[in-house]
Amino acid sequence: MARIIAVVSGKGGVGKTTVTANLGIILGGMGYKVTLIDADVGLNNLDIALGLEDRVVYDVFDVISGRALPEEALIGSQDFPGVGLLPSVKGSEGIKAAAFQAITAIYAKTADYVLIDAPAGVEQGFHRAVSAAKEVVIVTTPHLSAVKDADRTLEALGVYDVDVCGLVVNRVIPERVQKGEAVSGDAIAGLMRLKLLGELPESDEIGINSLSAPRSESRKAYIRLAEAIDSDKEGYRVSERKRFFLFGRK
Amino acid sequence: MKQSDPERRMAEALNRSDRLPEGFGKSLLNDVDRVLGGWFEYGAGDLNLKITPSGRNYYIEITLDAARLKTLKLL
Repeated sequence: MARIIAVVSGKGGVGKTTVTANLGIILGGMGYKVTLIDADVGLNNLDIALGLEDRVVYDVFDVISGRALPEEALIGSQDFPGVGLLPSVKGSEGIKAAAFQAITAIYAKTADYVLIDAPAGVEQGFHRAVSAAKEVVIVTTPHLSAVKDADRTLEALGVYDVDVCGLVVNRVIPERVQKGEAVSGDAIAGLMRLKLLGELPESDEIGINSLSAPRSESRKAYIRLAEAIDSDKEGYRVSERKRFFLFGRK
Repeated sequence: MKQSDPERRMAEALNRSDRLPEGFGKSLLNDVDRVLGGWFEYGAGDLNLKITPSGRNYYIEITLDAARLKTLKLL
């Protein structure tokens, strides 16, 4: 039986979908069978984050309505071994939470991890995603508005039967933290009384591109995030980043 | 440790003092039990709350949109 983890945020635009996609790719690379489910049915883009948007034939609504078998609807890619995507499409908003819960349970029987990309906010889409999950990862950026929304999300999670794995703080700029201009992931996790699963560095590289360079800090951070979730290891901090100076530069 | 300005601002924004105290749910259920003297089921729209006594324990099942939110056992 798989670990079923919903990735939630509260505020939109904090990188939740990218975190879901990259975490799935890394876990798949570690040898696990991973099913990614796009529960952000109104603003779905997990397929785009994985570069699989041209491969979408069936979606979550087709599986629920019986038009496609669960395995038939999964999109795989040679680039991401072990990873299967169940996409969603616009217009699937009417899916009942109970139906979503039921198909998630079906996928959980044949996977090691089921990662659910939840929509922003704590409305019906959030309920649909979280009620199907057993665990939750909260993603935020260090910005006050994002942290406040993440905290409200944490409160909303109190009525669900889920374990909160911890907090991921995305788009951290170490120089700003060092200067006292921004709050560190550790401080945010402390305020929210959550375990810090890791900080992810601010990067100009968007989406799965950030994983392509073998020695990139983003890739390193995502590997550590996967390890923190998979085996409770210490998460990545951007302050660990090695700094290189060019000779002669003033 | 001294907090930076952004940290202090964030700590103030996340002030949790207005949250419900621990044990709130239990005292509420005691009131429900006192009034109804037994099982209790409440539905409002898609939200459904079912409380079932079992010996000295209570089981509370909360569902929303027919999907289970939580099942609690109160001792």
